[in-house]
Amino acid sequence: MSDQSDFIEEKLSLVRNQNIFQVSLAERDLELLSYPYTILQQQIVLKINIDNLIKDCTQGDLSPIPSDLFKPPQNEHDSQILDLPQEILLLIFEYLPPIKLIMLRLTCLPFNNITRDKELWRIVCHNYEKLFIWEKLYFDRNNTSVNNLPVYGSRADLVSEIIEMSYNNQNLLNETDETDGTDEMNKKNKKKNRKKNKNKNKGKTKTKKKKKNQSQTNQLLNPNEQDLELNRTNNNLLNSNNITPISHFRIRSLSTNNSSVEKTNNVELSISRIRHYYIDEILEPEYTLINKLKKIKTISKELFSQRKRNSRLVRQHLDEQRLEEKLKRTLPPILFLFPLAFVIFTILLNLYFTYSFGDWKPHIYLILSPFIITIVFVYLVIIANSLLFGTRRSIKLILASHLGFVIPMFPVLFIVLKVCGKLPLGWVSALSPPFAYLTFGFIIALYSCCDFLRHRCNAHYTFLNISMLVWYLLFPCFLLLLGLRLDERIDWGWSYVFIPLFIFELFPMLFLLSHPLLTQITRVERMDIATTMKYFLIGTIPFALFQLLLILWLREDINFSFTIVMIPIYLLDIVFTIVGVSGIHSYLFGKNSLRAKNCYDDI
Amino acid sequence: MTELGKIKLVSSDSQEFEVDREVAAMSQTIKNLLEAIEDENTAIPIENVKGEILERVIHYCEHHYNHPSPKNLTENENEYERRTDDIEPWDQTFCNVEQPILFELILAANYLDIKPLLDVCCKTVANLIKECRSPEEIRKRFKIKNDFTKEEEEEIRKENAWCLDEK
Repeated sequence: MSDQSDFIEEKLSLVRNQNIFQVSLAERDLELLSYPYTILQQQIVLKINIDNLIKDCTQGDLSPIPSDLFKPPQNEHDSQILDLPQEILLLIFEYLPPIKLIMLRLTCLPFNNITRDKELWRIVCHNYEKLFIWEKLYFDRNNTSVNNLPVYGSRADLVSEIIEMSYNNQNLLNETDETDGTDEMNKKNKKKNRKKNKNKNKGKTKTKKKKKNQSQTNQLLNPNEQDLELNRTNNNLLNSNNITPISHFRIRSLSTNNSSVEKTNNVELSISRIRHYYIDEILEPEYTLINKLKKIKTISKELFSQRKRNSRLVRQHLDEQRLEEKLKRTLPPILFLFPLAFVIFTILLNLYFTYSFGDWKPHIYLILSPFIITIVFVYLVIIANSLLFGTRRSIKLILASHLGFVIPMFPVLFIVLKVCGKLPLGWVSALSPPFAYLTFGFIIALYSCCDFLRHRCNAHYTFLNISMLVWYLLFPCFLLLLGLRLDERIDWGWSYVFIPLFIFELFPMLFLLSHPLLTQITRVERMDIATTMKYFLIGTIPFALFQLLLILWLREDINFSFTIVMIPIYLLDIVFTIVGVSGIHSYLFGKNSLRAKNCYDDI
Repeated sequence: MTELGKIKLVSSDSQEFEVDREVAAMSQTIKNLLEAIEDENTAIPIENVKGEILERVIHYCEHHYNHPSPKNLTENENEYERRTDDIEPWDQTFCNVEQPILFELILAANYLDIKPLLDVCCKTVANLIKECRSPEEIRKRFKIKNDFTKEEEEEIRKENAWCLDEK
């Protein structure tokens, strides 16, 4: 260390003797000597600078020395990013999409080197699943198109396969002159391509081989034909970016088979350029070549069948995606219908209990008609939808997904029939289908709830799940009590019958007060829960009021009109309408509207 | 003397900072150091970090100690997943500094081994790069000198033409 400082000092004194730079260097000199020795690198930089300086001085070059020559690199504001160590740069680059990495490659040498890191590409490719570029590259490299999609089982396989391929191809691009031939995937690609070329020009290849042996004596093809074919081969090979050395050789040998002397010269030339792997193949006897061709043929056959199978899978996957979009398109209008039906239903119900126009009373069927109409309409939409867009497979899926809406309607139909007096059964048995349905729901909810609690993902979803569970637990209880009460098997007051529903309405409060997870939930989760709670309360408060009034009305302690009982429900109607309309609005014009969905953020 | 439960950090330009032991322990490096030394009152020298930067780092640690980020609770699901759009607002303002400071923050975070800070800074830089639409823009933004010869540049451009044409 001290040696070095001595050395620097010596140099500096040398400089000082030149008189010209004495003043400016005197200050630097002091700074330099006070530098801690740990910053070795800076010293070296300075030393080099000083060396240059001295050289310049001694050569009599008196041009002014740029002042920033003495700045230690830390103060240099130029390209701070390049001062970062490579591993940190890699950390940063891992967040970038492939296209930006390529751009970085074009900025400067260090980046050009860093962005070729294999691990980096692996991560980036996995991270950015939008593989348009990679897919395109893959197709380019393999002379295929989307129509005969490559060989993959599932989407995940497809992604990883393409990444693998494209990564290796990327290597190929970089090393057109030196291919390892060790990488299995590379080999495969090449074989495929070579096979293609061979197949296309199969006959020709053979004749060419023969020509190679007997080229002095006769030519089997007339020159014109040959030229044509030659051009075609050339085009083929040029179109496929994957010009392997062997194809170079082919072109060469084809174009030079007019004179044997020239040919041998050229062969020698190419041989000097082509690596062993290929030389062996070119010079080996014809029968092994034919054997090889056969082998490649079987391999390619396998590949082709695999490819066919997998392209079907890919198509299925695409089908599913398209279907999802269609479902998204059809669901909101249907969901809008239910609030509408509900509004009409409540008004008619009110009329039924309060008014009678002479002898005419709204028939019970009329009251329930909105729901029935809605159900019928939903069916019509489904059928129309599947007829318009559907393939057979998609019809099945659409039906399955809409069944979730429709199945609950059958238990409701039971109740409808009972209310209309068409069902010669007691209330308990009339209510048993919904009871069974809800119990089934309870089992499912219990299962999913356990699943959620075990994995403890999102407090919001946990909340939703638990409330579902509670709903499926309490509502059947209520139905049971209601049935028993209506059949007059029990003679409890109406207030007792409604207890389960009240518990359910109080549930969120209990949940919020007791939930242990709430101490450590995230901001997002808290916001989600708050939104859900908002809707929940908007729904339940009017409903709870309605229940209270209904109980009072049923007890007949105080006489008042049924219209008053219905007031909370009207409030609910308003809310429903608003939600329905805003849902439709956001569906058509909102953030998640179809239009917005079509724009992709840049990759 | 330092207060109970506090330790003293000394930056490279010998500024002193008093920090809660727990806050400082967010840095894996300091944590390991604290486990190694017995005397509680020793000032810990942070030689590679300037005072200005160390102050920022401590500010970050204090904030995140008081507002623990929930993401640390849930494990990263996918080891390949890299997102840059999940920076919290506070972190965004924290990282909204000039480039030299940002890079020094990265170096400090790396040296002190504070992974969340390192991540958030890296994401910020990545976002800066993402905003650029061309190599020239990247060069301009990060003041990178183009050290390619014309031929070299042309070669790399040609080599990567298959994807650059797309844009």
